[in-house]
Formats: sequence, C-alpha cells, structure tokens
Amino acid sequence: MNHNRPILKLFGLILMLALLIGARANAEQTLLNVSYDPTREFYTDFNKAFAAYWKAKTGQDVTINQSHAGSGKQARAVIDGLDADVVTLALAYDIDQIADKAHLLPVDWQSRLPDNSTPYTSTIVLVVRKGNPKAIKDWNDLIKPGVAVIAPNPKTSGGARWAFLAAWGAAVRAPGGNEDSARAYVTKLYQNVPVLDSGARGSTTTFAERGIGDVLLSWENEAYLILNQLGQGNFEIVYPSASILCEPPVAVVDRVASRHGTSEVARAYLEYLYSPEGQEIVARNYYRPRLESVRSKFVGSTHSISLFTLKDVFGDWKKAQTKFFADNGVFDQIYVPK
Amino acid sequence: MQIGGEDPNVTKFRIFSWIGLGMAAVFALTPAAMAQSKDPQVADLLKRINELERKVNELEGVKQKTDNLDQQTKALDQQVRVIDRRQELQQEEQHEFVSKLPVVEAGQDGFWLRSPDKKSYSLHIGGYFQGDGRFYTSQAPTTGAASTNPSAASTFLLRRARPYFEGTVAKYFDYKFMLDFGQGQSTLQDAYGDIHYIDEARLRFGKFKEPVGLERLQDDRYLTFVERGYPTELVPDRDLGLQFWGQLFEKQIEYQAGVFNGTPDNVANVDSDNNNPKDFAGRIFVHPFNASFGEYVKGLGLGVAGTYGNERGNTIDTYKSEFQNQVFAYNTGTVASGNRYRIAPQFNYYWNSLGLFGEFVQNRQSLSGPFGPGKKSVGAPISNYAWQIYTSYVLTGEEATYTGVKPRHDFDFSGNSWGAWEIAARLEDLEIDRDAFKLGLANPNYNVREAFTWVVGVNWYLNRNVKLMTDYAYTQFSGGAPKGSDRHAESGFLNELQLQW
Repeated sequence: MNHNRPILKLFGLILMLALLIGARANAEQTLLNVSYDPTREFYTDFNKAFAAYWKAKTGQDVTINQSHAGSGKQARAVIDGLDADVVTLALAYDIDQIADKAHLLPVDWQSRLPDNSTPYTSTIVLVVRKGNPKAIKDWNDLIKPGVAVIAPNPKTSGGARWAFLAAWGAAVRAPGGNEDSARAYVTKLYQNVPVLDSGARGSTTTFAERGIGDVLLSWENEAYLILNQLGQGNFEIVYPSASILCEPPVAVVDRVASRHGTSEVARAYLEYLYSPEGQEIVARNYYRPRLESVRSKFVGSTHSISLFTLKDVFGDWKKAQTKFFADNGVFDQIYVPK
Repeated sequence: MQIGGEDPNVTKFRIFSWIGLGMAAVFALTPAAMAQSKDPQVADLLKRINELERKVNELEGVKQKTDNLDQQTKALDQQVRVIDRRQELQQEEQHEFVSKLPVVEAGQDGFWLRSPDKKSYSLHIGGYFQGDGRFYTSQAPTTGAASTNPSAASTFLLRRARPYFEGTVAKYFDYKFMLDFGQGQSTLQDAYGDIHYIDEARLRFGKFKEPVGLERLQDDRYLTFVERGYPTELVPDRDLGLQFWGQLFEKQIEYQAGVFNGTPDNVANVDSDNNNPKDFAGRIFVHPFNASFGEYVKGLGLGVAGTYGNERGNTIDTYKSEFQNQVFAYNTGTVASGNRYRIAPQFNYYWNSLGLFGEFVQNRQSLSGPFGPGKKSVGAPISNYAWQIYTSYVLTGEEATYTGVKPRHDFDFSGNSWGAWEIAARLEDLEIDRDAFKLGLANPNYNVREAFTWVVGVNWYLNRNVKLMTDYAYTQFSGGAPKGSDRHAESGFLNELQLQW
C-alpha cells in the first residue's frame, strides 16, 4: 500500500485551491499609489482616465487606491511596510531611501522612465492675500519685519524642502549672494514663520482657511488650487524673479508589484503619465507638463520666472539632504521652534 | 487721497480745518496793524482759531490711537489664530501618536495586547481551570484489573489547569500555545500556527485537535456536561500534523482535511510517531439552512468526519466511564497491526434556549497480540462503537450555542440577577467488539463489553467567566466482572467549578 497517498491527496487539494485563488486574483487588479500631499486632485482625475484606458486596452478592471501625506512621511511608511505598488513622491531622495533601506526597487530606478522619471514639474511661488497688502514682490520682501510667512516643515514635507532650497538658491544666485548671505536670509525667513505644518496641504489650510500669515510658500499647482477652489478672488499669486524647478519623480515599487502580480499594470500606469492624454491632465491640474505640445495649455506658462535646478545649485539630493535637512543640518541650526 | 489708510471723513475735516485756519490767519494778520488792534472781532476770531487748532490736534491724537488699536487688534487676532492653529496641529500630532500606540484590553474576554490597527499583531493571555468533585452514590468501583488496581474513591481533583496564549503576527499568521497542569501532569496540549490569507482556505500546522469528534472539537470551557460522552473515547484528541481548513458560503460549510502522525484514541500527550504511515483525517460540517429558511431550521448543523491510516506497533486505546474510571483495556502485548479507520456522523441543533446534540463513532482497527497460550498472533480487525445524544435548555432565556451560554446579566448577591441557568440530559453508549474477547485480546473478567449511561445536569453561569456544573450519572455495564457477570453499576455526582479568563 502507498502510505504517502494521503499526503499526495492533500497536496493536490492545496494546489487546486491555489490555482482557484490565482485565477480569481487576475480578474481585477488593484494598485496602491503612495503619493505626496498636494496631488490628491490630480490623481483623482488621472486615475479615472487611466482606468478607462486600461479597460479599453486589456479588458481588465483596475482600481487605484491613493494615499497622501508629506513626502518624507510617505517614504518612511513604505519602508515600514505600507504596500505601495507605485510611489509618486515629491523628491527623488525619498524614493532613494526606499531603494536603499528597504530594497523594494533597484537603486537605478530613476533611469527607467524618461526625464529622470519626472513626467511633470512644478515650482515654488508666493501666495498673498487680495490686494497684496504687504506689497510682497520677491524673496527679499519675506524677511521684512511684520511679514508672517507660512511654510511647511522641511523635515517632513517634500514641498517644504523644495521651498527651502528655492529660498536658499534665490539668495545664493542674487547679486552679491553667497553661502553666508543665504544662511542669514533663510534664518530671518524662518523666524517669520509662526506655524510649521507637517505637509503642504496643512500649510494651505493654515493660510487659506485659518487666515494666518501674509504670504504662503506654495507649490505652484497648489497655489492655483487655492485661487480656484478655496477662495475665489481672495488671494493672488506672486511669481518671484527666480525659483527652483521642482521635479517630483515616480517609480514602480518592484518587489511589492511583483508580489501583488501588478507589475505590468503599474508600469503602464506610470507610462500613461507621459502620454498626450496624461500630459493634458497634468496641465489641467496646474502642473508643468513635459510634452512640448501641451505646455501652452498650462495656466502658468505665461508667467516669466527664471528657474534653476537642484543640480545647478546643490549638486544632488543626497548632498542637499545631508547639508540642510539631516539631523543637525542647516535647518536644525537655524530654526528655533516657537 | 488716503493717508496711511485713515478715515476719508477725518481727512476732509483735517484739510478744511487747515484751510480755515490759514484763511483766518490771513484775515487776522492783514493789515499787520490789525494784529495790534483792539477790535473785539479779531480777538474772537483768534480765539476760535486756537480752539479749532486744539480740536484738530485732539482728533489727530484720537485717530492715532484708533490706528494703533486697530493694528494691535489685527496683531492680536493673528496671534490668537496662530495659537489656535498650533493647538490644532499639536492635537493632530498627539492623535497620530496615540493611534500608533498598542491597544491594551482587559475584560471578560481576557487580557489582550494588540497593534494599533487591531489586526496585524495581537497577544491574548488566557486560561481556565476546572476544579472537580466526584462523589459516588454507588459501591466504589474498581479500575482496571481488580487484582492490581485499588478501588476508585470519591475525590476532589484539579481536572484541568490550562494557561494559554494565542494571537496573530504579521496579520495573516495566528498561533496558540496551551499547557495543562491538571491532575499532576505537565502537558503541552496545543502548539500550532495557522496561515490564513482568506477564511476559505487556511493551513494549520503543529499539535492540535484532529478534526473528528464533534464534542472533542468543542472547547472544554463550553461543554454541557462535566465529562465528554463515549464517542470522544473512540476519536483522536490532539495530534501532530498539517491541516487544510476553512469556512465557505458565509460559514455555512466548514471543512477540514489533514495529515497526522496517528495517535491512539483520546490521547493528547503523544508528541512523535514511531512508524512511517500517517493518518488522513477529514471532516465536513454544514448548516444547510441559513436565516432565510426561517428561525426554526437555521440552527441545524450536520456533518461527518473520519480518519484512515495504517498503524503498526503502536500502543492502543483504553476506555473510561463517565467518572473517568478505566472500563476497558486490551491485554498487554496487544498492538495495532494494520489499517485503522473511524467514521463519525454528527449533528447539533440550536433554537433559542434549546440545544440538541448527537454523534456516533465507529472505530475499526486491526490488532494483533497474544491471543492466548498456544494461539498464533495474527491480525484481526476490531470494531468498537459509541454514540450519544443529549438535549439542553437554558431556563433563563439565553441562547444555547455550541460555543457556550453567555449570561445576559451577571449574578449579583443583591438578588437582582441570577446569571444563567441550564438543564441538560444525555444518553450514551459504548460497545466493544465481541471479537476482542473471543480472540483473547481483552480479559472479560475486568473489561466491560458495553457501558450504557444516562446523565442529568444543571449548569449555573454566574457570569461569562465562572460556571458551576452538577451532573448525576448512572452507568450500567455488561460484562467486566469475573465469571461472565456484570460489573456493578456506577453512579454518583460529578461537580465542577470552572474559572476562565
């Protein structure tokens, strides 16, 4: 008698059930897009379009779930186990951390999609109240006595780090500017910040809904959202003479997508951001599209502003992070919590 | 024109005042001689100019104060808003901090430590002990071979003392460890892990109850009688193995299918195997009628379980009475020598306070042994049977369920509530294959051919943690005494106090 027959029967049953579960999983796919704070409206719009595109192309239903918070916090959440199929964060450094610490995607992830995996860009602008009562025109006006500046915390917010670097970069590149003058400038700037929110959306709430402060350092797209949604006619956008070109990157989280069986749809999701349809949605949501043919549809395209890149002033994110935002970095040295 | 944002009306007043003063000054000073004139009109004009000048200065002062006040008010307003917002952010931070703290609970369901999401990680520390009192009303029974074993006596005993801890790790992996220190022993009762990504298909591995006897599978804490019935004598208790199991169609169907080492009946402390063949055990239990079929039928559960294996050389089973006295044992040297199967149809039914329970077990095992002087030792299949049926009723109106009775109100000494009360009655029978005696595998002078028992019981649930049970059991035996006579009947009270958390 084959005494192993009971074992073989049991494994056969297990295999059959595994196949049934697998077949059930393939019928519908779900993606989790872990993103930074101000992209909520954009991805609501984009996800609808992508789901329709994917259904038409493959016949498969796809549901995209979103998670939004400060970019740094989101990166830490993914490292700690949040199962993101894709990440669309504010800065490359945060995705580098996911690659380095959790090994969820390769370290050369940024080379896998065009334009260093940044399908859209933005910049940092100034939002003031109607009539611009404090006559804010450029960076120097932010450090005048009596001007209250609202900005998020660079330790937790990707947008805040861009804002800090925009301010520092503008100070360094100003006539006669250098490291010392830039440091002095940002010291005075953050002395004028009464409330430091953890994310860009929180700062928007502080400025636009709680009525605190005279000027908000904001993502460009967030500034247009404030104008159009939070207080029509109550705010104005002031473009400084120079600002930083913000390049928020996107990436598939390989090990998670592979485990979920969503690698193909995750890749297609990010590639769709570069498509003409995707770029139209980018422009419609006040981000700067990469596609030349769509650029004129971006509402801010008529404003003249000199944009410098991170590489122009700081080299790379690793250097910038270490110098300014790491523990005991420049920000910790200049900012005294109130 | 707006000066520094002052009120336009005040501005106009200021302008015209100065013009008026200027004109008055011109009229007053031309011709110069008029300044020296003692004309009363001029003096009056001068007086009025001075008065106007004084009022303008006063107004300017008031306006300055108003402006200052306005600025101070705006600054204060901003400060208040900033304070409010900082408090709001602090509360958000605190809320986020608290939401990441583990959750600690202590209550009727024991002591729990859970991760903030209450799903991914948990630890439950629980336990129960059952203190029994067995008091015979019949002649003190013998146990085993009369010549070697003393008579059983009325006694108190610690029937079970079982601390356990169980929980979940990494969201999809459950575990349980349970020890038993009752009756002077230290046994690892349960030690298993469960992998469950979906309720419909789970994998259990380790040491746990084999999925056969319905009353055996029932938790010790939820039994209706102090001791389990005879069918439990013929089914396996805990064993080591691997089991695939799940619940389908909103728990209307439960199934288990596993591979185990293969233990003797009703034995929990065998932790390894001494032969290669393994036992296959499977069970399916259905609740064929869900709520849409009506209240009267939805509580019906029907099932069948069974095992199949090949045991060689293992020690074999002994059977006990309601008072846990040994009533049957094979002769020394009798061993398992071939195929063994068990089949166990079973059912339960619950409707409001009424419970009905029944099961039947056939246990067929090939045995070989010393068949007696001059006789060959050959294998022979021996089939033993047992069945039970019982009914219960909760007098205080709580629901009767397979997972016990939960009193609606705890007992309190003031007499406002008596907890929950339940009565129950059972019939059960154990029958040994006659061939066991004919082939000389068991001595009929000490071992019964049949035991038939009726039990009536009363249970008092003081609260969800404390239960008092009293059963009266009467057992009639066939055989089990010298010269073919019957062992004398066994009767008495079985009592139990159970404390669980």
